[in-house]
Formats: sequence, structure tokens, C-alpha cells
Amino acid sequence: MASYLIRRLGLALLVVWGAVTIMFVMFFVIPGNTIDILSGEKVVRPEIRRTIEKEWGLDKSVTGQYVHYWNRVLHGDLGKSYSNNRSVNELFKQRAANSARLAFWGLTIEIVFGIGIGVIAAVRKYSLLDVVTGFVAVALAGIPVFVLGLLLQYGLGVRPAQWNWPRWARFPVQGMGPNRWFVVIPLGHQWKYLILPAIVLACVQTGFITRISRTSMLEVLNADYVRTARAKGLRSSTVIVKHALRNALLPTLTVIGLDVIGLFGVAVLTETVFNWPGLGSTIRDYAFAQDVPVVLGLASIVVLFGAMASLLVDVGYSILDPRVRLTTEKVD
Amino acid sequence: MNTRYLKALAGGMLALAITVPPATSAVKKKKVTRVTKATTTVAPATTAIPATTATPATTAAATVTTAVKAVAAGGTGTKCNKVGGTFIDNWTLSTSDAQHIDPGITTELIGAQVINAVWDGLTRVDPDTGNLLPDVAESWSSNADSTVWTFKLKKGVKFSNGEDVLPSTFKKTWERNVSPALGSEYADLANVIKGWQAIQDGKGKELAIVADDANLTLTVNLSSPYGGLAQRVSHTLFFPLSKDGQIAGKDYEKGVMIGNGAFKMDGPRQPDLQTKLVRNDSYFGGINGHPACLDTLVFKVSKDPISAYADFEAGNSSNGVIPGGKFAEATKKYGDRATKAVLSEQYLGINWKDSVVGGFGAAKLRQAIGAAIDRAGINSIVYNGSRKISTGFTPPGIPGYKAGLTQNFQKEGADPALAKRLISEYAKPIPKLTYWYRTSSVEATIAQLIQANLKDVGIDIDIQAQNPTTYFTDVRNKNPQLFRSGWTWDYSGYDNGANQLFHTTDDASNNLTDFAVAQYDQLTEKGQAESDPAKQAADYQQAEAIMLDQAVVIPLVWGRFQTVLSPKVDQYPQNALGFVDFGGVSLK
Amino acid sequence: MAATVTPAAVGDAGLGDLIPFWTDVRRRFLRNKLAVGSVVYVVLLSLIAILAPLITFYGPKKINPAASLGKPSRAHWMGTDLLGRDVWTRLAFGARISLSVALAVVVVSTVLSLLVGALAGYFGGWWDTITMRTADVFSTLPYIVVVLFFISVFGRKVWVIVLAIVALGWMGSARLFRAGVLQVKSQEYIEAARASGCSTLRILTRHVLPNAIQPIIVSVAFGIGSAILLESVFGFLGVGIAEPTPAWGLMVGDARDHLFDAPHLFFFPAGALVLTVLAFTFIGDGLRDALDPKLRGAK
Repeated sequence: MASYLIRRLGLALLVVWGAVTIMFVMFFVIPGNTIDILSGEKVVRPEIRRTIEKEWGLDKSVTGQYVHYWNRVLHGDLGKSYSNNRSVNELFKQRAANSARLAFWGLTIEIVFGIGIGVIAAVRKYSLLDVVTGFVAVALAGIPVFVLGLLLQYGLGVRPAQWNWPRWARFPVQGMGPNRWFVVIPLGHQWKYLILPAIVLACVQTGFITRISRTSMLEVLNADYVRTARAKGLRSSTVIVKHALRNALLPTLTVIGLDVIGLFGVAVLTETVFNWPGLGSTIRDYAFAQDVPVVLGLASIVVLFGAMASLLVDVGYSILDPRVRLTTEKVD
Repeated sequence: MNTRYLKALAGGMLALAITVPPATSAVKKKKVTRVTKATTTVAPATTAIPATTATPATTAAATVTTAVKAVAAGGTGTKCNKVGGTFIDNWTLSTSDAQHIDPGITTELIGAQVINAVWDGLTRVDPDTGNLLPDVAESWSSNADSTVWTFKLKKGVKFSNGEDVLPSTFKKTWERNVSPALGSEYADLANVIKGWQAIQDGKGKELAIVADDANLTLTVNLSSPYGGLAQRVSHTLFFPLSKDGQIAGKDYEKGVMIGNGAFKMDGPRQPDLQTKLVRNDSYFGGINGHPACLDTLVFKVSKDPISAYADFEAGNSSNGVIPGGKFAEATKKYGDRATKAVLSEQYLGINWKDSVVGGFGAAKLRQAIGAAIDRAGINSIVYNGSRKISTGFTPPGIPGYKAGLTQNFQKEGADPALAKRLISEYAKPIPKLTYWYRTSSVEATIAQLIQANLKDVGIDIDIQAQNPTTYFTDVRNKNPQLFRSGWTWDYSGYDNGANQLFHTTDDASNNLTDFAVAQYDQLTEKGQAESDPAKQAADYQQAEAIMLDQAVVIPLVWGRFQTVLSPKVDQYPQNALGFVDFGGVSLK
Repeated sequence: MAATVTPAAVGDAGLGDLIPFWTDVRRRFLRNKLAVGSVVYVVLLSLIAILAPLITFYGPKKINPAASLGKPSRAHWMGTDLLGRDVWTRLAFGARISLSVALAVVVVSTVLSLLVGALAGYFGGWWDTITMRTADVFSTLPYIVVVLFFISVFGRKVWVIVLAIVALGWMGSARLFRAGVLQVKSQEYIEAARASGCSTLRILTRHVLPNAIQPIIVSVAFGIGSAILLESVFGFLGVGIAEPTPAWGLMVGDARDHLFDAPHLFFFPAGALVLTVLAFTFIGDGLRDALDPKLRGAK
């Protein structure tokens, strides 16, 4: 197991390297002049241009810049923004926690509701409940985040305020609020600011997870060993939880693993609509500005987390189903 | 002033896709003004000097020894009907946070808006009248050839931490702001001051300024005659910084900066969330002559104007931005107290150097395009009919404005018959033309309206969405035949639009149309050198008429604020350039 | 605890005669009303897309400012948008683009993920390592960077958007495939088949894939919906298919500006989108039930 982990960790680093390299190349191919960005689109004199190029290391060749970049990153310096000189390290510090908290709660909602509803729907297959939850899951996944967000903002924030509902019944429309946390646990009124974006973030994937867990669950429920367990007279809930769920989780886990990656880095729309300053919207802003250091810096961190998440999923597999690990290792 | 590309991109494409920058309109296409781009203030008589060429203005004669009588404390002041309360602004930063709020570094209007609440400079331009008001300075004068300027400071002006604001404060601050180490994009604004070049070349550290703290006089020596220094120093770059700021680098804005303005920072700004200010009780009064009416002023950041408006509707902010297409609805619900005209112009530019649509020979074709476009339709679809159709380029409100400079563009709706006649007089086959716009849903709407209008008279155009980040650079370098753009005046001076947008020498930056007509150049240059405002206006009008007759731009609409105010807001002084005087804002 | 895993039923059927099996599948599928209804819906939708010019009365790009934001009426039974374009016409023409984008995306990424995921899961080893880490690389790239790259280099064309969506989406189904295959391949009946000398290809197509396919069906159904939705996301972010191309995602996205004053702009395209995703989900469910004879008695 230890050697497996170490090898997987090595591969995860390789993934980070690959993704950063791809992005590095992409930004070189995208048309657009860094000098224009650095100088605020004004026409610059050649000598100033040369100074800027020198300052930012743009006079070097592509490979030179690439080496220079890694040299910096490996020394713990992600660089600074072309457009506003903010340090990428600091940007990361500010945004990563916001992203992580939102992602954590989004994911929690996804898992609890996704798997919960999926399992119930599978157990009560073709019941009214199954059909209704199926419909709602798909409908929520079929509304774009920015529309869903606006509907929630008006439904739970704007209208209650206009109708003079009591304070506790209103939700804030935007922002992070007091920003008080114990690690990921919101303190005081913080939960009110968290809940809408977390729900919106979770919505799309909850539908997907519901359906995936329902499907996997159905498959497992009809497997012989579950029938056997039932025949043996075990309580239905015991059968479901102890025997079926565990086996049904594998594909669900895959989807959730993918989500961790997505939620952490690319919750762009939710972050934008609710003005929740996380990594996703920050990367977006700077990507449009072709502010390469920020995008590369933040994205490589996201990539790192993504690679770790994928690693965890693989480890999760081997815990849920030891044979997976064994066979993988055997083949290697 | 301008919202610049940075605003657009920091606000994200999102902003572009659906939005409305706060100050002006649903389609703010402000191009980059190099000189005065950030802030308020360069007075009408003096032309903003292109930063890169550093030619001193030639209006010295007009301003020699302008000794301004000090208006004791404040002139145009807004009195507070009520003192106290918290004002939550969700208008200024409703599409993105400001890149910078360090006065020495900022380049955007939105940053300058925050800065103006925290700092007061030597002078402040009353943008409505164009008059220069004394602020920290009590009076000023220059020698005969405008090479030596002396500012007399008010007594007892203090920073919010109790530090005195003295002549030496200004000297040290300016030296910091122009130092290559800081790398301010606006360092060039101080290039008329002796010693500037040496600092840039790394050969010196000091500007040729004599700061006499005992007598509160600041004597500024210039490297060449310049009559507009008193106006120039009203720019944020020249605002005084406290002792820690004078030696601070680019990171100063990360902490609590100390100002001498109506408000002070309550803590470090929270990037992309908010900047919170509280009343500065040691404020000397500025142009209003009294401390701020508000206790607290919060600049809230949004990244999506539609959500920002929802936030306003939920009662969470004191003002808000009206998203595109909601003007009628919003003003009906919340009134139109804050929707006055703003000095801006939206236009369709045509490339003068293009082989098809450019040059004198294609005048009829350009005029036909102008006649074919249903500007009233654009106004009603895109702006809810809130705008005034431009019958010329310079908007009413600019001193020297004159209606009816040209025969073109006088009809608000389309005139297809005229357009067809002009096309037949043009008598050449018209190939499919290329039309560029800066990606956003509003711009896409305008593009399709124009496309349909032109198709009606037999002109086919290919509408192409362009990358918003590099839009103006691309227009400048790749010269599309037709392109959408806009201009928001930096100060209420005729020359700000006229000189910068269509003068040959400005070809490299602001003259996106590449307009190059000798007579136009001569007239604007003559106007610039003119000391009599009436004669100056006449020259500029003549120049503009040439440009309009040639129809090198098709003016669309003049701007208007897209602002809603909460009923709780009492006074909300704002000027036609987009600035709100937060010191005078009060609640009911 | 879960040691007594037995082969899933399709494995047995695969060994036997195939013709009765498929007849069985069809019969079981046809018994599922939701699934059949969904097939009818999809066929209808395809007809609408194909016959769009014949069943609409306006051009999809024809603007009419005078009719801006018209409520549903006799002339425009789904109303008009800001530019006065007929919503029904744009919806019908949009079906062409959105459905073909969605199908292209789903087909390409399913084939890709089949090749990558199934083989990776079955063979493991270096192929697994390379493909799954490549998938990691792609899934960790911020999508905005990828899309920005594609449109900057190739322009805002429909196929470019398809390419971008595929580049961003194939990893999901590849992983699901791999997970399914992993789960199946370690089961006794596969071992048994291998021991009895079945060829790899036969094992894969007869035993592994049919058993691993169920999550994929869900993934395909949702993939169609999310591909259409991604259009709107890209549109919202300003990197999508350019106006005035009619596309469902764009229509839903643009409706946000007028969510409350012209709800029909949102209702119709979003409704069509949700119904389409639902239809594919139900078809997927029906297929799954039909393929799995164990469930025969369940209904």
C-alpha cells in the first residue's frame, strides 16, 4: 500500500507538471501582447518596452521563460499579476479558503442529498417519490447556475425583504457576510451567506449523483447476495446499508471525485453571481486579462488539489473494494 | 475618465456579457485615454498632455499669474441635512473591484472614486463649471512664463492620524509617485516638473520643488512653461500621502492608508469584497467646508450587475446600478434622482484609411451608413429610450457645445430613402463590410440592429465579436472597417473629445478612426492655443463640423447615469463626469 | 461481507443465443411507458429540428425591433425576444444546433471514454496510468482557460465549441467506464470466462461492457443536457457561440436579463432543455431495465 501511495503521489505531481505546461503553451499561442496588458493598452516607447520586458523576464525565449517560471514556483513564489501587481501567493491565500469552504458545503449537500435521494428512489423504484425526485433532479440540473442563482436571490432575498418578512426569514443576496468560520463550520450568521451559493453550487451535480446512485443501487439490490441476505431474514434497512450501499458507492465515488476537482477550482458562475471571491472567479477574471502569472499560479494550485482528489478517489476505491488495489498492483 | 479594459476584465467577461458599467451606459466602450484616463480633472483651458510625448500645453499665456482668490472654506458645498448613518455603495464597484486604490498608482475611474473620498489634493476641479476650486491649497500663482508655480496651503490641514499636511508632504509624495521603483503608469503626469527626467533616468531622486513648511508655501519649478499645473495637481497622482505612505512601495494599498479626506479607511480593504470607510473627524472641510455627513461609507464589490441590482432591490445597498434594459423598470420603481446626463458619447467608428470606406471619396457611403441606422430604435431597444440621440459628437453640457454643426445625423430614426440616394450618388459597388464589437450581449444587440438597418439599404456587414481585453489595441492595429466605441469625457472641455480622438498626431492611441485631415488638425491646434473661450469654441466647432460632415463616426447616443437611489438617501451630489462627492452625501 | 458476488445476468445471456435476448430487451423496453414516451419526444424533437424551416414562419435571425419582448400571442405563440425575433422559430432552429452539438459531444466523448476508460480499466498497467493521468490533466485545467484558448485560436465557431466541450468532458465518462469495468472484471465469472479460454475481445464485449454500461447510460443522458447547458455557460461568460446563432443555451442565458419582465424567454428554452434531458434519462432508465432481466419482475 505504501509503495502504491508513493507511486500515485509521484504521478500526481506529473499531472500537475503536465497541466501547467499545457497552460503555459496555451498562453503563448493565444494572440495578445503581454506588453499591452502590462502597460494598460497605451502605446509605449521602445525603451520602456524593453524595461518592462526585462522586468518581467519577457526578453527570454519561451523555454527560458518556462525554466524561469518553474524555478520561481519551486522556490515557493507563484509570481505577481501583470495587471495589478498583486502577489499570486497572497491571492491564493485569500481565495483558497473561500473556495474550499464553499466547495466543502456544496459537496456535502451533493453527497447527502444525492446519495440519500438516489437510494430512496432505488428502493422505492417507480413510486411517485422516485418519479418526482427524478424530475426535480433533472430540472435543477437543467437550469443554468446563473439563472437558478437569480431565482433564489429573488425568492429568498429580494421578495422577503420587499414584503417585510422578519429578518430571520430573509437571506442575503450577495457577498461573504461576516466571514467568521471555525475551519469550515460557519459561525454566527455566516451560514445565511453560505447556504444559497452552496445550494446553487450543489444543484447540478446533485441531480447527476442522484441518478448515478439510483442506478448503481438498483443494480446491486438485485444482485444475488442481497437477495440472499434478504432471504435470510435480515432487516431491509440493514441489507441496504450494510450490503447494498457499499457496493453501489463505487461509481458514485467516481463522480464525487470528479466533482471535488470541479468544485474547488471552477465554481466560476456561483462565485460570480453571489460574489463569493473564490479561486474560480479569480482565475476567470485574470484569464480574460491574459494575466498569465496569476492564471498559471492559481490554476496550478487547483491542478494540484485536483490531482490529490483523484488520488484520494483511487485510494477510496481500494478501501471500498480491496480487490481493485490488488489487481491493479498485480498487473503493474 | 475611463473604466478601462481592466474594469471590463476584472469585472469579468461577465460584466461584458450582460452589463452596464456604473457611470454611463449599457455599452460603455470607453477607450483608453492615456493622460487623464483616471480621474477628474484637468481644466478646460489646458489640454491634457499626451503622456508619452510630454509636449507642454501652449496655453501659458492664458493662465499666467492666475492668482485665485481663496474661497474661505468651501464654495459649492452641499450642507448636511442630517449627520450620520451608513451608506452602502453598490454602484461604483458593481462590476468589479478597483485594481488599485493607491492614489499614486490608480488608473481607473472606479479606483479614483474611492480615493477621492479618502484624500483631498491641492485643488479640485468643479467638473460642472470647469472652475478650479481651492482644496488643500488656499491660493496659487505662477511667474510670467509659467515655469515657476507657488501654492499657498491652508493652515491646519491634517491627516486622519493627526499628522500635518505640509508643503514637504506634497514634495515627498510626488517624488515617491514618480519614482521608477513604484512604476506608476501615471508618473508621466508629473513630467513637466524639473527633475522628473533625472529621476526617470536614475540620475536623481528629487524634484525641483521648494517646500517651505514654516510659511506653508510649495514652489514648483518646471522644466518648460506649462500653464495648467494648478489643474494638473488635482489629479490623484498629486494627492498627499502621510509619512508612511511617502516611503511605501506598491504594497501600501494592502494596508490601511492614511488620507486627509472626508473619510478614512476603517481597515485594510478586502479585495473583491468591500472597502469600508468611516468619517474622518479631523477633516479640514475640503470644498464643502464641513466634515462628511455620513458616519460610514462602504464600497461593496459585485461582479455581476444583475445580482448587484437584486442586492439593491433587497434593500442591502443605498445606491445601485441599473442593469442593461432595466432603465424604465428601475426608474419607475425607484425614481430617477440619480440618472442625469453624463458627458459621454456612443458611436460607430469608420476607418479613414480603409480602401473602401475611408477617405474623402467614400464620404457619401459613410453618410449613407449614418442615414440608414435607426438610432431611435437602438435607443428604445437597448436603452429603454432613456438616452438622447446624438446629433453631433460633443454632448450638450460641454462648454462651447453647439447644436446642428452638420447636416448629417439630425434625424433620429432611419432615413432609408436618403441612404439609398447617397449610395446611388456614391455609385460604386459596395463589398461586404466588416463590423467589430467588443463581446457583450448589449453590443451584440446593437450590432444586429445596425446590420438589419444597413441590409435594408443594400449594405451587407459581417458582425464580429472581439476579445474585450485587447479590443482597443486590436482596433488600433488591425483597422476594422466599422467598429463600435465610445468616449466619456475626462473633464468638461471641448478639446478632450475633439483633440484626442481625431487629431493626426494622436493616431497611435486615441484616434481609432485614423482620421487625418489637415484642416481639422489646424483648427483644433488653433483652438488649443486660443485664450478667448468663445473663439476657442468656434474653432473646435468648425473642426468637429468637418469631422461630422465626413461622417467618419456615426454618433449614436449621449450618455446617462444608470443609477438608482434608495429612498433613504437624501443628498447625492454627482457630477456629469461620473464622480460622486461622497463628503456631501447624506441620508434621511 | 460482500464476498459472495455472483455474475450479473447479462453475462449469462451473452453466453447464450443473442436473438431471443434482444427480442426480450425490446419487449421489456416497450413496456416502459416513460421510456417509450421519451423516445416519441426525441423523435418529435428531431423532426422539429430537421423540418425547422417548414414549420416556422420567420427567419431565426430575422429581427423586428417593433415586436421587442412580445408576450406569447397568435402571431408569435412563444413570444419574441429583445430584438423581436420569434422564440418558437429560434427554438426550432436552435434544436438543430443544440442537439447536434450535444450529440457530437456525447458521441465523441463516449467513444473516446470507451476506448480510454474501458481499456484502462481492463488492462490496467501503463495504459491505465497514462490515460487516467491524462484525464487528470484535462479535468484539472480550469475550463475557462481551455475555452479561451480554443476560441482565441480557432474563432467562435460551433465546431470549436464542440471541441472545447469534448476536451473538457470526456474524462468524466472515461472514469465512470473505468470504474465500472474495474468492478466487473474482478468478479468470478470473468475469471471463469478467462479460464475457459475466451478471447479478450469477446470477454470485453460480451461480459465486461454490458455489465459496466449502466452508469454510462446515465452519464450520456446527463451529458446531453450538460453539453447544451455549457453553451449557455460559455455564452454567459462571453466565450460561447456568437450571436445571432440560435442555440438553446444562449437563449436560456440571454433570458436572465428579462427573467421577470419577459419570463417566456426563459420558460420555453429552459423547458425544452429540461424535457430533453429528462427524455434521455428515462430512455436510459428504460434501456437499463430492459437490458437487465433480473429486473423483469420488479415492475
